[in-house]
Amino acid sequence: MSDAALIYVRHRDKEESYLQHGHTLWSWLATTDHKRIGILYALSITFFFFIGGMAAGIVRIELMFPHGEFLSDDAYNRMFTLHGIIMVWFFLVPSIPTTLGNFMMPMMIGARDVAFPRLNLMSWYIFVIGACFAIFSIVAGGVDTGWTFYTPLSTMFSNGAVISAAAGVFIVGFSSIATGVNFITTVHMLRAPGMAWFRLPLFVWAIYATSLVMVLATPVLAMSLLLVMAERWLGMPIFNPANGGDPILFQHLFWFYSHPAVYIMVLPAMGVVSEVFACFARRRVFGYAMMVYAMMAIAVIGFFVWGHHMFVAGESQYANLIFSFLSFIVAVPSAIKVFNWTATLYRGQITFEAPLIYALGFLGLFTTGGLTGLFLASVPIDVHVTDTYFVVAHFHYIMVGGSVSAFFAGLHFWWPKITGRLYSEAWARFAAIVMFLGFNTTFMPQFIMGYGGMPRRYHVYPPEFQVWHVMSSVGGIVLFVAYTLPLIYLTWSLFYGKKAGANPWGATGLEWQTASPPPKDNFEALPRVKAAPYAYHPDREAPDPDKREPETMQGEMP
Amino acid sequence: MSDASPLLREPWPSLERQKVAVSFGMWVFIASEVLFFGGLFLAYTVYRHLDAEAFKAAARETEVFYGATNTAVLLTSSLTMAMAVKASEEGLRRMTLWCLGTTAALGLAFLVIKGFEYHSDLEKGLWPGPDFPLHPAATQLFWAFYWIATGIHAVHLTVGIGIVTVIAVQLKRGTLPVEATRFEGVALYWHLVDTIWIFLLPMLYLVGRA
Amino acid sequence: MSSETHSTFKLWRKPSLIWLGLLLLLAISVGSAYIPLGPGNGAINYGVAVTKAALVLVFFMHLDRSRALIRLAALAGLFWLGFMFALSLSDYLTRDWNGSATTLAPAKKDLATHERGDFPKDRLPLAPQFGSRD
Repeated sequence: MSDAALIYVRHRDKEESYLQHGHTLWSWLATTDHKRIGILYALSITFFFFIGGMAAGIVRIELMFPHGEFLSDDAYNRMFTLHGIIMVWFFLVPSIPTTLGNFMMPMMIGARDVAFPRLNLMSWYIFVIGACFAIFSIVAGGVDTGWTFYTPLSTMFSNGAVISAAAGVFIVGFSSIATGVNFITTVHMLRAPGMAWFRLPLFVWAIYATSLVMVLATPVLAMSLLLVMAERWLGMPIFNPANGGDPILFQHLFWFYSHPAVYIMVLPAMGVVSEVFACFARRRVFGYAMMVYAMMAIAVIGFFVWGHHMFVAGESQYANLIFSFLSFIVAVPSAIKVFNWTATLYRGQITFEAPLIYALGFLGLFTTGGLTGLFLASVPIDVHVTDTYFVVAHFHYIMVGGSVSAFFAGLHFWWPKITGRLYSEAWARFAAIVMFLGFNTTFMPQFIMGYGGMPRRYHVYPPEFQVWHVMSSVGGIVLFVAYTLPLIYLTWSLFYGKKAGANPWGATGLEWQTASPPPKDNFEALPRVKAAPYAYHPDREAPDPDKREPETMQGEMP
Repeated sequence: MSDASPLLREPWPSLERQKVAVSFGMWVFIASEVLFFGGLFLAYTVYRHLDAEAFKAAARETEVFYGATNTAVLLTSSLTMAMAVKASEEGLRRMTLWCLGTTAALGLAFLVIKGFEYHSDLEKGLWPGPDFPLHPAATQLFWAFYWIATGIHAVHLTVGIGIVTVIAVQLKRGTLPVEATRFEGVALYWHLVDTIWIFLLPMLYLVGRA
Repeated sequence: MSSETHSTFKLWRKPSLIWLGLLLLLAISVGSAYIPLGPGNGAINYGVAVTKAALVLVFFMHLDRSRALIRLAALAGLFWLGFMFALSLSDYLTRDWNGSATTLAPAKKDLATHERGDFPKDRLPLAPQFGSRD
């Protein structure tokens, strides 16, 4: 043996899971266990999901009436800004990567933890500190600039708590970057023996691609907000036109991050649904290699399209042309993935557990949202529908219909692994269907009124739009029910749910080959990987209808 | 029984892996820093393009003496930092300590010199605002950039000085062994701070001199 | 003891040579800044900066002896910076082609008294909802 090489083979009491390893509050707040950190994040983002959701609820109630019944203009501005900032940075961007990614990814590659466990904990604390700034800005009256902080409103004219809100976002950005660094290093350096790159589950590839985007894009957001804070607080004229400053420069810097940010929000969702489709259709993912290339292509090309948010902002026509073309290109890998998911389901032995219902929801809603993105990528159409509800519907279809559905799919899929309990399948299926119906009721009318000219960020509107707004708000109530139901039955399952075995779904990943909930070090002994993922049936053959077990498990446990 | 086990941290299966990972992780972080400052450099480039004359007029007011001296100071600190890593790899504890201490001291010297320079700039009234002494108004853009860029750089440098001091103290006390993997990581960060300054020099001090 | 001082000297040799090179480049860039070379000044200054950075990256940051993965990570940041610059400049460098609308004033005037809308008024018709241009 050349130098230090510790092989972790520990004799461990089989009963003790990561949940039992320390019962004090301190054992949770000072943990370096990626699984516990995942749970800390899950609690944080759930809290913010409901805050952002409340803001949305208030917005939707206000919008039921065309004359601005309850809120002043300024209060309305602050409400939709609150909704946007909280939902984007304090819920969606962290959601899947820091919860499911933190918990599952190390197990899926056969590692005992992430590369830098203490940095992982620090990421969470940085998130909490940023969250404190955000909460302070809410308590101080909020911000009226929109989540996009456009200058010169944010730097020179806004009367809101811009600096503390921007500071909050600035700080959570570093949480993102730290998590990204951690995950990238983990995937490169801690894969178990035999876990080659092209044997990685697609969820791991998704987290890896997302982490690349987080590391490369978030710093530019940090700089753009820093410049806003410097201008507002110190009077540094960066974007002030009277000094020759260009407000569009802010938009370039902001969207350089914020477009890739939407891929941060959607790539992990794509990873989750790949896992769920494979498991519940009992099929290998169709075109695994193309799925990998597509995700990497989305991550990379996603950096080249940000100018499509600025088509009418004053950007040069030639830049418009380039960004429009690139925006069409970036749709191609996403479409490849949609075809491959569909082909994965084809000739599968599908059973409609809740994760699959959520994943099917993702498939349809993501496709709808993505196709409407193509309309927006076309400059002539965008000139007509930009800053209308068409755009609002487009991104909600992808982020809520897509990412949130996928988040729920993953949450249900891995719930038995994380908690060791089975949730109520009947309630979960019901909630999934209610979510799908509520979602479409909320957001489909928004496409219609957006195309008709209803501007976004307005609470006073022509009365002919009211019928659509009312439909949308009613849908919002249904969505609220759909989101609250899991809170109830999942919490119930923690105390009264049936105990889950190691592999209740009969899935093939490494995470299913250890106990539910897992021991603190994830595996009794590190697995050796001997197969490609998704071995639900022999390669290049349709599954045998008489057999529902996987062909082989992915790892060999010594 | 390996004697490298105090250096080995969870969840690493081998020390060699851990070493590479620390280096790799720091480089990935450096990539993010490149984009952080890159955003600022883009702003500079855009405004330089849009308003070249104003930029040149504004940049003439920076003090080359301070800028060049500080560059020399920081380049020297990179030398001592690189030597600290080399010494630690050779197991030379005293040399490592000396090099770390000198690096931190040079970093502090940079900040002191910067302090004098800031004082001089403020005496000339070069803080953007209504009483700004230069014309046209776009010269304030350059000076806004100057204060922000040097300020953020100084923050990074201060963090670096802090970290270098902490690991030097840990090494002195014996709580950190001389072959620890973190010296390389800290050195990479320090060299990054130096490299940023290498680019700030021509951007801030060498424009419009001729 | 002499072997120890000799090996210490050997340890310092290469890094010190790099350091001297860096200082020399510093002198070149500062010195040449005072010689009127037009665009050549910028070329030299940034060329020197890139060279200095390359020396620091390769020798002090050990890219010369790092594995391919580390070099890839080192390059990634630069690449992405390149994308950001290229696509952003695709806007700024083409703004005054064909009378594209821009909110910016040209560099020549004193901006404190500048008025908006300096682009040719007869070129691009405004949609009616934006009102008339006068």
